[in-house]
Amino acid sequence: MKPQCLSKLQKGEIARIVTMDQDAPVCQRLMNFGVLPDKQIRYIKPAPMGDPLEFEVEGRAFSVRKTDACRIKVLPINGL
Amino acid sequence: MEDVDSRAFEKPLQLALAGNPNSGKTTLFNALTGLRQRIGNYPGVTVTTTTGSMFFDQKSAYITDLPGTYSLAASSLDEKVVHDYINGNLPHVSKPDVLVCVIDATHLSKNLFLASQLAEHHIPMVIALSFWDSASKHTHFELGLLTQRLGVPIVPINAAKGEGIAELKSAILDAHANSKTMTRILWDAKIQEVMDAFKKEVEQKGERLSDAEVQRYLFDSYVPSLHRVKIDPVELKKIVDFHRAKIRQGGFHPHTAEAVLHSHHLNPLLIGVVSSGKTRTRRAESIDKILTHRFWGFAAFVLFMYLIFQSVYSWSSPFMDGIDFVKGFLQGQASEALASFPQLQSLVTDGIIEGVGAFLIFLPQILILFFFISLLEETGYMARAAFLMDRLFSWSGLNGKSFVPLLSSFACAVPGILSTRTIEDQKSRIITIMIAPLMSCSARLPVYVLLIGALIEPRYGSFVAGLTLFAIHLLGVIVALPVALILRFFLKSKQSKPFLIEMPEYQIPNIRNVSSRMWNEAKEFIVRAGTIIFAITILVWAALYYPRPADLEEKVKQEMHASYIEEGGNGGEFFQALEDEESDISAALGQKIDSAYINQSYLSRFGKAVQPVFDLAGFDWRITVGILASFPAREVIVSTLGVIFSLGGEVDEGSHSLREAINHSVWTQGSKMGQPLFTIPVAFSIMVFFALCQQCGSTLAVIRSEISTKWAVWSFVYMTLLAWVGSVATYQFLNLFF
Repeated sequence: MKPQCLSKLQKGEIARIVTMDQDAPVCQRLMNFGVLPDKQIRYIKPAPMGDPLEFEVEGRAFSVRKTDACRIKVLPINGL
Repeated sequence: MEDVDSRAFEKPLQLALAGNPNSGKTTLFNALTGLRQRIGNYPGVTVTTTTGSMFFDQKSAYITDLPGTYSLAASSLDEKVVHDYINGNLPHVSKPDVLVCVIDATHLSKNLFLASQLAEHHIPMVIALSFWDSASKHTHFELGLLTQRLGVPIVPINAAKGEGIAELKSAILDAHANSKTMTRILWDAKIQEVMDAFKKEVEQKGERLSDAEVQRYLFDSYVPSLHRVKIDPVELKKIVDFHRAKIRQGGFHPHTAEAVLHSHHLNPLLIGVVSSGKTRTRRAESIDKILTHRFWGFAAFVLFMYLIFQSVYSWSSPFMDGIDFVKGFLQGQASEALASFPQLQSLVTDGIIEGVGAFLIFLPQILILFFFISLLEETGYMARAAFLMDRLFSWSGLNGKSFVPLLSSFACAVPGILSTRTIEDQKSRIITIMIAPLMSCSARLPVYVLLIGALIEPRYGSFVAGLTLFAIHLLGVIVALPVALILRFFLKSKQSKPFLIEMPEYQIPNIRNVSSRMWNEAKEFIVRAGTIIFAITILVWAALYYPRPADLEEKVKQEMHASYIEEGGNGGEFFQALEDEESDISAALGQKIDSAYINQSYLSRFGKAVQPVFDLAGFDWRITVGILASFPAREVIVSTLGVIFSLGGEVDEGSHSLREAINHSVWTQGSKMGQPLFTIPVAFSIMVFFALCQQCGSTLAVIRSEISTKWAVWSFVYMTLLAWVGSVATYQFLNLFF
């Protein structure tokens, strides 16, 4: 299966982070925040107007804008 | 006694408190220092730090609360201040003796990244594990093992309850006495090689960098500027780029290598330290089912914002009235006491007392607004508000956190601008500050009420009057949008912090944090902006008071006498009436004299000189002078108009006499002589001018202290031009119909 955009996850879906665009400032900040490749990420929900999106990594929730979220490619973990 | 003496000469310990945002750092700071705090500003930096003093059994210490950051990588001014502070690169600040790193125990592994970066500075360190009670409920920590591995004291604390504070203090002394520094990362050989080579090359240019500084040069997303490094920036960038390329050749990305490698370093250190029982569900998520819900989320948001706005707008008014009352009382007292020295009397009452009142009047609104803002931040709701509103603002270069400052600016731009400190992204913050004064503040209301009440309501009824009032409030918002877009274009080159908001767990607000925040903000406003507001008030007082020709009063008396006789009055009666200070004639003479003084004051002379510029907007010299006099504070226009129209300065917007005067005044010179002055187009022209103009010295003073003098000047220039263009366009357009 091909890694997909983080913003394409379904609400509540869990995925594994495969790659992060290391040239994107948002990914650099996220990595400092503790969001790193290989970690599990859960899509909580979008803001009421569709953007930004809320995620959770290891019990810590954060929100990023949709366009930025797409800098992260993930593989959904099925059967959870 | 001996003991006391030796202590007096001992240098107090210098401590710094670092940690992630939402790590409970400020709660710990307040628990350590109480109210012994002062705010520190560094030249050219808008980020502030708070320093407080604290006492040990034998020693005293200064402790500085650094801005909360996730990392030392400078993506904004906050991180830069933390880095500069720890490296002793800020003026008048020496390197701290001990670092206290606050770590949220519920997110131990992620918070340790910052500690690991701090370890690179070779400064003794203590780790304070915050939120210990809630973390230890679900998770078991082998703290002995972790202490052994990290090499620094680790102290669990519940700062809000004061638990662990004594232990933390003795751990600080221990770390200091035994120079306990945290276990450093063992860098990948290739990276270490690059760091050494970079350090050596810079050394050959005559500059010595510490290991930590080398890492900032190589790993940050842009080349940091350390003032003490005297290498030509272009050359330095070349060197940095060369070595960053080497990092890439080694298979790492220079901007992420740090995060990746520190995580590799820390993960093994945590094995066997943390064993959690069942996985905890985030309490926040169930609360957010409502608070960020598609419908209920907005409903709650509107309710909270309405509450904040109402309190800033209405609850503050009794306090403001109180300040006004005390001011008036003091002015009355001073006026009586100094009656025989008219010049001093006017300086003290209309200059000094007025000037002090001019900035004290903002305190109720500032205190109330910051009460709510610290509640929003303490509880964790601020992040949700930004989450809800971001979409609405992001396209114009603002972000979700711009909402609260803009909303409060409808009450008053001064607290509104102060509250932009919650916006981390400097670009969004500048744009928010620049458009905040366009929101129609409560000081503009008297002008609208006066003109609408005098000219529009009598002719078109109360429905149109209400509609006009609404439209004029809307005008600022509509104009703010293109202004924000233009600013975003001009600030394009400015580095913007990517939007990333942590959605922290909800917390019960800590009353001590709330009150110290209110106190510090108010204190800082008085120190930084109060002095300027005071100075502006004195300057305008002087421009309206001087010159004082000796023969003016006599001249006015004679003119009045002449017209009295002309109207068939008896000269003797006139002078007899003047003997009685309570008589109508005495009062009228007093008002005429006040008016005459103002009419020949320096400010009026200037107003008459520039009046042709405002002719296109339909303003005569009296309106022009009124507008000029109200540049320091727009609300004075009403009383200034009162003085200019010889009604005395005691009129207000509801005053019948002033409305009469407005309805009956005519042009006194020029081609329109004899025609009514206040027509519908003129009324709208004035209102548009007030809606758009930067007539507030206090706002300018705050912009200057929050960003820079340059931005304060820009704000003044663009809004004044906008006001002029707007009022000319309004007048010329409406003149086609009326």
